[in-house]
Amino acid sequence: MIPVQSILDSFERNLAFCSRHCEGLSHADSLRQPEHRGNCLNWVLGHIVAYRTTILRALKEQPGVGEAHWSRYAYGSEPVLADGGDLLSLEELLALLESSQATIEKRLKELDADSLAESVEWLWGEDISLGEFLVYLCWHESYHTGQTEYLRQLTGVDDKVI
Amino acid sequence: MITPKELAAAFGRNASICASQCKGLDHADSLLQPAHRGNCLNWVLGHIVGSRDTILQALGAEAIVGEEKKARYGYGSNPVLADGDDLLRLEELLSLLASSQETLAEKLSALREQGLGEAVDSFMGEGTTLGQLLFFLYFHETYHTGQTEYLRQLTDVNDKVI
Repeated sequence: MIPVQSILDSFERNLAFCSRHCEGLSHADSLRQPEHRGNCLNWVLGHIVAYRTTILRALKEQPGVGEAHWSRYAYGSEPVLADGGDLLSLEELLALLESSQATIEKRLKELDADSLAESVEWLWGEDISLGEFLVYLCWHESYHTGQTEYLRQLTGVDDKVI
Repeated sequence: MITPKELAAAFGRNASICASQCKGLDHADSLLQPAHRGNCLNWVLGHIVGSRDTILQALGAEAIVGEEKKARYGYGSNPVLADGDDLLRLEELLSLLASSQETLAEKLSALREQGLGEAVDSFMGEGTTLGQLLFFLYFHETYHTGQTEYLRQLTDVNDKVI
Protein backbone atom coordinates (compact mmCIF):
# COMPACT_ATOMS: atom_id res chain seq x y z
CA MET A 1 0.00 0.00 0.00
CA ILE A 2 1.05 3.57 -0.56
CA PRO A 3 1.17 5.05 2.95
CA VAL A 4 -0.98 7.96 4.08
CA GLN A 5 2.19 10.00 4.58
CA SER A 6 2.79 10.00 0.80
CA ILE A 7 -0.65 11.55 0.27
CA LEU A 8 0.07 14.09 2.98
CA ASP A 9 3.40 14.94 1.40
CA SER A 10 1.61 15.61 -1.89
CA PHE A 11 -0.94 17.92 -0.25
CA GLU A 12 1.91 19.75 1.47
CA ARG A 13 3.83 20.03 -1.78
CA ASN A 14 0.76 21.38 -3.59
CA LEU A 15 0.35 24.05 -0.93
CA ALA A 16 4.03 24.98 -1.08
CA PHE A 17 4.02 25.25 -4.88
CA CYS A 18 0.80 27.26 -5.00
CA SER A 19 2.17 29.65 -2.38
CA ARG A 20 5.47 30.07 -4.18
CA HIS A 21 3.74 30.62 -7.50
CA CYS A 22 1.71 33.40 -5.89
CA GLU A 23 4.59 35.08 -4.09
CA GLY A 24 4.68 38.78 -4.80
CA LEU A 25 1.44 38.70 -6.79
CA SER A 26 -1.59 40.84 -6.13
CA HIS A 27 -5.29 40.08 -6.40
CA ALA A 28 -5.30 41.95 -9.72
CA ASP A 29 -2.54 39.66 -10.97
CA SER A 30 -4.71 36.66 -10.14
CA LEU A 31 -7.38 37.96 -12.52
CA ARG A 32 -5.13 38.16 -15.57
CA GLN A 33 -6.55 36.11 -18.40
CA PRO A 34 -4.55 33.58 -20.41
CA GLU A 35 -4.09 34.71 -23.99
CA HIS A 36 -6.10 31.69 -25.13
CA ARG A 37 -8.96 29.70 -23.58
CA GLY A 38 -8.25 28.86 -19.97
CA ASN A 39 -9.00 29.86 -16.41
CA CYS A 40 -7.15 32.59 -14.55
CA LEU A 41 -5.16 32.10 -11.36
CA ASN A 42 -8.03 33.29 -9.17
CA TRP A 43 -10.33 30.62 -10.54
CA VAL A 44 -7.70 27.86 -10.36
CA LEU A 45 -6.83 28.68 -6.74
CA GLY A 46 -10.50 29.08 -5.87
CA HIS A 47 -11.11 25.68 -7.44
CA ILE A 48 -8.33 24.14 -5.35
CA VAL A 49 -9.75 25.76 -2.20
CA ALA A 50 -13.28 24.60 -3.05
CA TYR A 51 -12.13 21.01 -3.25
CA ARG A 52 -10.10 21.36 -0.08
CA THR A 53 -13.46 22.22 1.45
CA THR A 54 -14.84 18.99 0.02
CA ILE A 55 -11.95 17.11 1.59
CA LEU A 56 -12.54 18.78 4.96
CA ARG A 57 -16.21 17.83 4.85
CA ALA A 58 -15.35 14.21 4.07
CA LEU A 59 -13.01 14.29 7.06
CA LYS A 60 -15.92 15.59 9.13
CA GLU A 61 -14.26 18.94 9.71
CA GLN A 62 -15.61 22.45 9.30
CA PRO A 63 -15.69 23.48 5.63
CA GLY A 64 -13.20 26.05 4.41
CA VAL A 65 -15.65 28.03 2.28
CA GLY A 66 -19.41 28.37 2.27
CA GLU A 67 -21.75 27.10 -0.42
CA ALA A 68 -21.78 30.30 -2.47
CA HIS A 69 -18.02 30.39 -2.89
CA TRP A 70 -17.84 26.64 -3.32
CA SER A 71 -20.25 26.88 -6.24
CA ARG A 72 -18.46 29.89 -7.69
CA TYR A 73 -15.30 27.87 -8.17
CA ALA A 74 -16.60 24.32 -8.63
CA TYR A 75 -16.18 22.14 -11.70
CA GLY A 76 -18.07 23.66 -14.62
CA SER A 77 -18.53 27.06 -12.99
CA GLU A 78 -18.28 30.26 -15.00
CA PRO A 79 -14.76 31.50 -15.66
CA VAL A 80 -13.55 34.44 -13.59
CA LEU A 81 -13.21 37.20 -16.16
CA ALA A 82 -13.20 40.28 -13.93
CA ASP A 83 -13.20 41.23 -10.26
CA GLY A 84 -16.45 40.99 -8.39
CA GLY A 85 -18.21 40.52 -5.05
CA ASP A 86 -18.67 36.83 -5.83
CA LEU A 87 -14.95 36.14 -5.68
CA LEU A 88 -12.43 35.46 -2.96
CA SER A 89 -9.37 37.69 -3.08
CA LEU A 90 -5.98 36.14 -3.74
CA GLU A 91 -5.01 36.83 -0.14
CA GLU A 92 -8.13 35.08 1.17
CA LEU A 93 -7.54 32.09 -1.09
CA LEU A 94 -3.98 31.65 0.08
CA ALA A 95 -5.03 31.99 3.73
CA LEU A 96 -7.75 29.35 3.27
CA LEU A 97 -5.33 27.03 1.57
CA GLU A 98 -2.82 27.44 4.38
CA SER A 99 -5.36 26.94 7.16
CA SER A 100 -6.78 23.81 5.55
CA GLN A 101 -3.40 22.11 5.56
CA ALA A 102 -3.04 21.74 9.32
CA THR A 103 -6.52 20.23 9.63
CA ILE A 104 -6.01 17.83 6.74
CA GLU A 105 -2.69 16.74 8.18
CA LYS A 106 -4.11 16.19 11.66
CA ARG A 107 -7.08 14.18 10.41
CA LEU A 108 -5.16 12.08 7.89
CA LYS A 109 -2.72 11.02 10.61
CA GLU A 110 -5.67 9.87 12.74
CA LEU A 111 -7.15 7.65 10.02
CA ASP A 112 -6.77 3.90 10.26
CA ALA A 113 -7.52 1.20 7.70
CA ASP A 114 -11.15 0.96 8.82
CA SER A 115 -11.69 4.70 8.50
CA LEU A 116 -10.14 4.74 5.03
CA ALA A 117 -12.46 1.93 3.95
CA GLU A 118 -15.60 3.81 5.02
CA SER A 119 -17.93 4.92 2.24
CA VAL A 120 -18.24 8.56 1.29
CA GLU A 121 -20.49 10.06 -1.33
CA TRP A 122 -18.55 10.49 -4.53
CA LEU A 123 -18.63 13.73 -6.46
CA TRP A 124 -20.85 12.12 -9.05
CA GLY A 125 -23.35 10.29 -6.86
CA GLU A 126 -22.10 6.78 -6.17
CA ASP A 127 -20.17 5.89 -3.02
CA ILE A 128 -16.47 5.16 -2.85
CA SER A 129 -14.08 4.59 0.02
CA LEU A 130 -12.63 7.57 1.88
CA GLY A 131 -9.14 6.40 0.88
CA GLU A 132 -9.94 6.41 -2.84
CA PHE A 133 -11.71 9.74 -2.44
CA LEU A 134 -8.66 11.36 -0.85
CA VAL A 135 -6.26 9.97 -3.44
CA TYR A 136 -8.47 11.23 -6.27
CA LEU A 137 -8.77 14.73 -4.80
CA CYS A 138 -5.03 14.83 -4.17
CA TRP A 139 -4.52 14.02 -7.84
CA HIS A 140 -7.04 16.69 -8.86
CA GLU A 141 -5.26 19.29 -6.75
CA SER A 142 -1.80 18.41 -8.13
CA TYR A 143 -3.21 18.67 -11.68
CA HIS A 144 -4.31 22.24 -11.06
CA THR A 145 -1.22 23.14 -9.02
CA GLY A 146 0.90 22.57 -12.14
CA GLN A 147 -1.19 25.19 -13.93
CA THR A 148 -0.23 27.89 -11.43
CA GLU A 149 3.29 27.82 -12.91
CA TYR A 150 2.02 29.23 -16.22
CA LEU A 151 -0.48 31.57 -14.58
CA ARG A 152 2.26 33.22 -12.54
CA GLN A 153 4.14 33.96 -15.74
CA LEU A 154 1.16 35.80 -17.25
CA THR A 155 2.05 38.63 -14.89
CA GLY A 156 5.36 39.09 -16.69
CA VAL A 157 7.51 38.17 -13.66
CA ASP A 158 9.66 36.01 -15.94
CA ASP A 159 11.20 33.94 -13.17
CA LYS A 160 11.82 30.31 -12.32
CA VAL A 161 10.24 29.37 -9.02
CA ILE A 162 10.78 25.61 -9.08
CA MET B 1 -4.15 3.63 1.14
CA ILE B 2 -3.75 2.82 -2.52
CA THR B 3 -2.96 -0.57 -3.99
CA PRO B 4 -0.49 -1.20 -6.85
CA LYS B 5 -3.38 -1.83 -9.21
CA GLU B 6 -5.11 1.42 -8.21
CA LEU B 7 -1.83 3.27 -8.69
CA ALA B 8 -1.53 1.82 -12.19
CA ALA B 9 -5.03 3.10 -12.98
CA ALA B 10 -4.10 6.49 -11.57
CA PHE B 11 -1.09 6.72 -13.88
CA GLY B 12 -3.44 5.60 -16.64
CA ARG B 13 -5.66 8.60 -15.97
CA ASN B 14 -2.71 10.93 -16.62
CA ALA B 15 -1.78 9.11 -19.83
CA SER B 16 -5.38 9.28 -21.03
CA ILE B 17 -5.65 13.00 -20.28
CA CYS B 18 -2.36 13.77 -22.04
CA ALA B 19 -3.61 11.85 -25.08
CA SER B 20 -6.93 13.73 -25.00
CA GLN B 21 -5.21 17.09 -24.70
CA CYS B 22 -3.09 16.22 -27.75
CA LYS B 23 -5.96 14.93 -29.89
CA GLY B 24 -5.90 16.49 -33.33
CA LEU B 25 -2.60 18.30 -32.70
CA ASP B 26 0.52 17.85 -34.78
CA HIS B 27 4.22 18.06 -34.00
CA ALA B 28 4.35 21.74 -35.00
CA ASP B 29 1.54 22.46 -32.54
CA SER B 30 3.61 20.90 -29.79
CA LEU B 31 6.35 23.47 -30.44
CA LEU B 32 4.12 26.53 -30.04
CA GLN B 33 5.57 28.76 -27.35
CA PRO B 34 3.58 30.36 -24.52
CA ALA B 35 3.56 34.17 -24.83
CA HIS B 36 5.29 34.34 -21.47
CA ARG B 37 7.98 32.24 -19.83
CA GLY B 38 7.10 28.56 -19.88
CA ASN B 39 7.79 25.29 -21.62
CA CYS B 40 5.99 24.18 -24.73
CA LEU B 41 3.91 21.02 -25.05
CA ASN B 42 6.76 19.07 -26.64
CA TRP B 43 9.01 19.71 -23.63
CA VAL B 44 6.29 18.98 -21.09
CA LEU B 45 5.36 15.67 -22.74
CA GLY B 46 9.02 14.79 -23.20
CA HIS B 47 9.54 15.51 -19.53
CA ILE B 48 6.62 13.25 -18.59
CA VAL B 49 7.89 10.46 -20.83
CA GLY B 50 11.44 10.80 -19.46
CA SER B 51 10.05 10.51 -15.96
CA ARG B 52 8.20 7.38 -17.02
CA ASP B 53 11.60 5.84 -17.73
CA THR B 54 12.49 6.35 -14.07
CA ILE B 55 9.22 4.71 -13.04
CA LEU B 56 9.69 1.73 -15.35
CA GLN B 57 13.24 1.15 -14.20
CA ALA B 58 12.14 1.30 -10.56
CA LEU B 59 9.64 -1.44 -11.42
CA GLY B 60 12.38 -3.55 -13.02
CA ALA B 61 11.39 -2.85 -16.63
CA GLU B 62 13.51 -1.63 -19.52
CA ALA B 63 13.80 2.10 -20.17
CA ILE B 64 11.89 3.25 -23.25
CA VAL B 65 13.49 6.59 -24.01
CA GLY B 66 17.23 6.28 -23.50
CA GLU B 67 19.57 8.52 -21.59
CA GLU B 68 20.17 11.11 -24.31
CA LYS B 69 16.51 11.93 -24.85
CA LYS B 70 15.80 11.68 -21.15
CA ALA B 71 18.50 14.31 -20.57
CA ARG B 72 17.05 16.51 -23.34
CA TYR B 73 13.80 16.74 -21.41
CA GLY B 74 15.12 16.41 -17.87
CA TYR B 75 14.68 18.82 -15.00
CA GLY B 76 16.62 22.02 -15.77
CA SER B 77 17.17 21.13 -19.43
CA ASN B 78 17.07 23.82 -22.10
CA PRO B 79 13.60 24.78 -23.24
CA VAL B 80 12.43 23.47 -26.59
CA LEU B 81 12.25 26.62 -28.70
CA ALA B 82 12.30 25.14 -32.19
CA ASP B 83 12.24 21.82 -33.97
CA GLY B 84 15.42 19.78 -34.07
CA ASP B 85 16.97 16.34 -34.19
CA ASP B 86 17.43 16.35 -30.47
CA LEU B 87 13.69 16.15 -29.96
CA LEU B 88 11.09 13.43 -30.00
CA ARG B 89 8.17 14.16 -32.26
CA LEU B 90 4.70 14.51 -30.76
CA GLU B 91 3.60 11.22 -32.32
CA GLU B 92 6.58 9.42 -30.81
CA LEU B 93 5.99 10.95 -27.41
CA LEU B 94 2.36 9.84 -27.38
CA SER B 95 3.30 6.38 -28.55
CA LEU B 96 5.96 6.08 -25.82
CA LEU B 97 3.48 7.28 -23.23
CA ALA B 98 0.96 4.64 -24.31
CA SER B 99 3.49 1.82 -24.33
CA SER B 100 4.92 2.90 -20.98
CA GLN B 101 1.43 2.68 -19.53
CA GLU B 102 1.03 -0.92 -20.69
CA THR B 103 4.31 -1.96 -19.11
CA LEU B 104 3.74 0.05 -15.94
CA ALA B 105 0.27 -1.46 -15.50
CA GLU B 106 1.60 -4.96 -16.09
CA LYS B 107 4.41 -4.54 -13.58
CA LEU B 108 2.22 -2.92 -10.94
CA SER B 109 -0.52 -5.53 -11.32
CA ALA B 110 2.04 -8.25 -10.67
CA LEU B 111 3.42 -6.47 -7.62
CA ARG B 112 2.28 -7.60 -4.22
CA GLU B 113 1.35 -4.83 -1.83
CA GLN B 114 4.36 -5.60 0.34
CA GLY B 115 6.56 -4.86 -2.65
CA LEU B 116 5.70 -1.18 -2.33
CA GLY B 117 7.34 -1.20 1.08
CA GLU B 118 10.72 -2.35 -0.22
CA ALA B 119 13.65 0.06 -0.08
CA VAL B 120 14.93 1.46 -3.39
CA ASP B 121 17.93 3.52 -4.45
CA SER B 122 16.61 6.88 -5.58
CA PHE B 123 17.20 10.60 -5.75
CA MET B 124 14.77 10.85 -2.82
CA GLY B 125 17.45 9.58 -0.47
CA GLU B 126 18.18 6.71 1.81
CA GLY B 127 15.27 4.80 3.22
CA THR B 128 12.91 5.63 0.36
CA THR B 129 10.48 2.84 -0.41
CA LEU B 130 9.25 1.90 -3.85
CA GLY B 131 5.78 3.14 -2.89
CA GLN B 132 7.08 6.54 -1.82
CA LEU B 133 9.13 6.91 -5.01
CA LEU B 134 6.24 5.91 -7.25
CA PHE B 135 3.79 8.21 -5.53
CA PHE B 136 6.18 11.15 -5.78
CA LEU B 137 6.66 10.48 -9.48
CA TYR B 138 2.89 10.21 -9.83
CA PHE B 139 2.53 13.64 -8.18
CA HIS B 140 5.20 15.04 -10.52
CA GLU B 141 3.53 13.62 -13.59
CA THR B 142 0.12 14.89 -12.53
CA TYR B 143 1.55 18.40 -11.97
CA HIS B 144 2.75 18.47 -15.58
CA THR B 145 -0.35 16.76 -16.96
CA GLY B 146 -2.41 19.72 -15.76
CA GLN B 147 -0.21 22.01 -17.84
CA THR B 148 -1.17 20.25 -21.08
CA GLU B 149 -4.61 21.83 -20.75
CA TYR B 150 -3.20 25.33 -21.32
CA LEU B 151 -0.68 24.20 -23.92
CA ARG B 152 -3.42 22.63 -26.06
CA GLN B 153 -5.20 25.97 -26.09
CA LEU B 154 -2.13 27.76 -27.49
CA THR B 155 -3.11 26.11 -30.79
CA ASP B 156 -6.39 28.04 -30.75
CA VAL B 157 -8.58 24.93 -30.73
CA ASN B 158 -10.71 26.77 -28.16
CA ASP B 159 -12.35 23.65 -26.81
CA LYS B 160 -13.03 22.00 -23.46
CA VAL B 161 -11.56 18.52 -23.27
CA ILE B 162 -12.21 17.76 -19.60
